[in-house]
Amino acid sequence: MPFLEIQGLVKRYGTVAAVDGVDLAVERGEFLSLLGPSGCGKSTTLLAIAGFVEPSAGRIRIDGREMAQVKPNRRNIGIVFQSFALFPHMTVAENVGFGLEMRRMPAGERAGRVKEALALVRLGELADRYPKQLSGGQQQRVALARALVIRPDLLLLDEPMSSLDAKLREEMRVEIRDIQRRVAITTILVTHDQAEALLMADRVAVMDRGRIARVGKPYEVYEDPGSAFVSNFLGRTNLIAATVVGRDDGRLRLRIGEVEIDARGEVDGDEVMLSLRPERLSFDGAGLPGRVESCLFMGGQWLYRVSTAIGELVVIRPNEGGAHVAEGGAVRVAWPAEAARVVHG
Amino acid sequence: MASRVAPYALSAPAAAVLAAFMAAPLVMVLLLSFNSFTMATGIQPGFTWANYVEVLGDQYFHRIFGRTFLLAAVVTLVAVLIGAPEAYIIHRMRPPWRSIFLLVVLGPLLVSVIVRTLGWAVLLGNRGLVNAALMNLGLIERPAEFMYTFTGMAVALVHVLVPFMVLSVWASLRRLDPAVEAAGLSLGASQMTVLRRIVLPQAMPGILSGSLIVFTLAASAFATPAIVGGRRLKVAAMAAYDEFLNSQNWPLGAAIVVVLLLAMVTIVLGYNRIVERRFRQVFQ
Repeated sequence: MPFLEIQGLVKRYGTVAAVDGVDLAVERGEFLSLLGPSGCGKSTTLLAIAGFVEPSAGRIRIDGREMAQVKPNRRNIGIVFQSFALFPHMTVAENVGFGLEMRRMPAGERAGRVKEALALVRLGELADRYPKQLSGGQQQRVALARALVIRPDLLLLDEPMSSLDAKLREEMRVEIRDIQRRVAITTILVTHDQAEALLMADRVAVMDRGRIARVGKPYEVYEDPGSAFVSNFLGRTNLIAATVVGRDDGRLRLRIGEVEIDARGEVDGDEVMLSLRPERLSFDGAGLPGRVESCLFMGGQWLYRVSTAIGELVVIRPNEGGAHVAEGGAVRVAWPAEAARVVHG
Repeated sequence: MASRVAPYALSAPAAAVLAAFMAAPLVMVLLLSFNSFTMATGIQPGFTWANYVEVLGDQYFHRIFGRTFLLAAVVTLVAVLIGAPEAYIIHRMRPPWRSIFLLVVLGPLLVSVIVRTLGWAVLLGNRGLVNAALMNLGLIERPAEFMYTFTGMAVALVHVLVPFMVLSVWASLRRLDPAVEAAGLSLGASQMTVLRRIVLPQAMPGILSGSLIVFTLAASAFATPAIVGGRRLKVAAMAAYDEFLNSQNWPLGAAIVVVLLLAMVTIVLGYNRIVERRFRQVFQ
């Protein structure tokens, strides 16, 4: 049985459904990321798990226990908030020890656990500081230590990186993931940042308009997104409207204008979208003839816009130090057979 | 060059108004308090401590000052007990209701102090609406004393001054991160514990500044104590008024004013220091 089980979760505000039938199962110790644009219902789902939002319908079970009647302060869930929500009038140690104090742990034992938690996030020497005297990254670590020190059944991370600057964000992603693996705690991360979700989580659940559009391992979801929404939200892709003209056991023959292309994927109906990831496209070999419209240098990569018979394609090529194709150049755009994916429109 | 002169030039009008209508009269009152006075000769220029000796040595003035500061302290305490929860409730309200109830809270400030206080008299006098109704219902035999009592003065002053407390606490609650309450709950604290351990300490700057406003306004209040308390329950401001206008003893009146002012400044500064030290982290 999964450790966290959500069945048919619905949350309506008036006539608007913020969450519209979410089913989710998370195994013990697993790191799952809820990914989606703002307003997709991911935060509402998180708040419902935490108990701050009462579901309109559906059930939430943690370790087999029905949560409907359990108040937020009895759920034993650790939360890291977007704003960190540290208590400004308490020192770092007092912040971290608050949850233990609420559990009526004797002061001596508490001090030991606080020290342990601060060591885990490498903040041992800052125990007597106040939150305002810390940097953003340090505040985040305090928030993480405060959530972990109570040894929660579940750790919820609500956009925890969004108030940090880009460099720090990348460091914290890796650090939080490492800590999560070390303490082996079941974790749910809510984020709108696809890079963050792919990098940190064991599994990614992409949400769209209150529902889960796709759930799976990051690599699988990226490679086989299933819908135009997911393929566009996870990384970037070229989406081209196409008509199915032939089917043969997972292989499809598509027509786009005058051109016919082979693709893979399972989609109902004949009006579909073709998804071509820019980094899977190349200029070697025989392919679709095209003309380079623009060419942008991005450091590690070159980003080309190529006009072809099936429309404009974005092509990303690694910068290997050699010559690049100049604007106006004639190219042939090619891709490996499995890179052409059919998705729902 | 202009940028260094500009700030002074811009603040000059305000400085002139303050100097002419605030600093100058205060200095004149201070000088006046050292003059002497007899019924026969009137005000005599000169330098004497006699007025201060009288104000600080006379039982009559002790009682007046004692009553004034007790009244201010009671009013402040009650205003905190009513105003702080009220501010928190308004803070938790949803948008349309929040502004409506904020306006309701500000209501008393929109009515002239005399009208408002006379309203209390009409409502709560011995033959007022409340007493008449209670007696007609047979709930009480004799009218409940309200007018010309200490309680009456305190109630009327709390009514006027509570909005200052509400506004002040509300302003400090607005800076509160809404997630900290959720954080407290998620760590296992009850709603009451969250209020006491997390919300209250962060509301302290507002409670402190609200208390200072309410305390000083209550200690220097004149109209409300004069109408509700009457001659029997004099406060310092009324005593000064009486010395100036009834006894014509301006120097003694001036001495009362100076003592009141100095006492208030001392109390306010002392209080400020204690609370700021206690809640140092919240104020930063």
